[in-house]
Amino acid sequence: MARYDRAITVFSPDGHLFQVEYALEAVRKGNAAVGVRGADTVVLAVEKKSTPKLQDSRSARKIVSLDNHIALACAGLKADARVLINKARIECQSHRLTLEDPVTVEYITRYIAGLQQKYTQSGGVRPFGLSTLIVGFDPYTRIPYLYQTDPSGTFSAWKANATGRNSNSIREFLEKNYKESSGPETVKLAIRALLEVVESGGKNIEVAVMTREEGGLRQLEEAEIDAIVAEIEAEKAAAEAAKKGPSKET
Amino acid sequence: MSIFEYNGSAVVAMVGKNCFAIASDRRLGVQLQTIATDFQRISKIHDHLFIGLSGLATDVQTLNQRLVFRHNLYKLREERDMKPDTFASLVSAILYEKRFGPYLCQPVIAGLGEDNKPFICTMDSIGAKELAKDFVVSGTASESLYGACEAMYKPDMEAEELFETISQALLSSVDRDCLSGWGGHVYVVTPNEVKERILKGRMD
Repeated sequence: MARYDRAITVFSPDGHLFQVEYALEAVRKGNAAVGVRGADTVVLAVEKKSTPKLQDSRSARKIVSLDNHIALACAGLKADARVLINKARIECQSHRLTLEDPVTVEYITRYIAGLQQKYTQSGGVRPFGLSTLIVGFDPYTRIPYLYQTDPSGTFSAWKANATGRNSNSIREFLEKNYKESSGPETVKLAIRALLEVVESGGKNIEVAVMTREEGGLRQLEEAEIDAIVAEIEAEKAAAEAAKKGPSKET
Repeated sequence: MSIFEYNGSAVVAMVGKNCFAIASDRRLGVQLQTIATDFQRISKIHDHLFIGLSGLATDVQTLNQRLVFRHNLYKLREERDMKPDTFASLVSAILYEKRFGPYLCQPVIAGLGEDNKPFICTMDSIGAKELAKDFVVSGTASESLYGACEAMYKPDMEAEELFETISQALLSSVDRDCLSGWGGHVYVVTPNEVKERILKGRMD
């Protein structure tokens, strides 16, 4: 009988796990994704590569619900994402069944990260080629959270983060421009950050919002996104004009 | 004494004109002793789908929880609610999985399907479906319920009249059964709203 105990992820002489690092490369090639945590709102925004004309864009959704109060966006191998998301959804329901309580954001993040780690230390499997951004509100306390996991299985909480293509530049932008916000301001910050690396326009960005009062994930319509993008462009133009204005006077 | 008669129960569902009603008694007993008078036998799966379970109370609760679990997963993956006939097939499959160690319950499923057409069905404890056009009954009071429903039912009743009919049928039937009663819990569902009502009957 064939033995599937040949590990694929082994240490290199200088202490690296190359398969994990290659998985991170796959993530770096995936589409950009941004997550921002506000005081009462959490936002996920993902780059939508131009959809082929014949494709039904609704079927290629990039931001998904794991439960009523938790959402996930990812960058990397989409097929791996499907498997991970399915397992996470089952875990959310299983937790509700056995503990009669919805999961906390940290619990499900720990579960997903644990799953990703397992696949770096098992025989005959390769690591998942994706990093996830998980947002949600804890049940009862209703505190918002944003977490990130990666192929190595590490996870951490963030105020705002990006993953996928050009994530470093987006993260720099967020570090410079992040301030505590709520409601539409949080949405605007997420879209502004994504627009640093993505072509402008509603059809290139997918945005989803979760607020403390509403609960549930709301995907923004293209028209709504276009409106916010227009606002952002107007603000940028005004800022440019203000910069040029004083120098003209001298 | 049958294990199905350990806790006592009565569940009935009726079809009306573009609406349905599902009702149950509220007694939870341990053979002759009554220990609760507010036991929930009917679960809402979604706005247009309800399931009532009669039989052993622990299995009623467990099966309810498992079905909510499965429907939540379905909703996340399919991004829509389950149709009543699909749900009935799911319940039937779940019950048959335990063919040689069954859940000791008999479900009554009632919902509004496509075009808001009412759907009701019942099944035995190992998943044999029985579809009906008028009414379905289950529980220790089922024999009385069959008689009462047959006598009082008429097709195409509106929501209010349906409520009166199902309530009278339930209350008069549980009065003939010592193991069920202590009031009634009635849901009348139309395409636009769900009306939940508690009945006060003979409190014994």
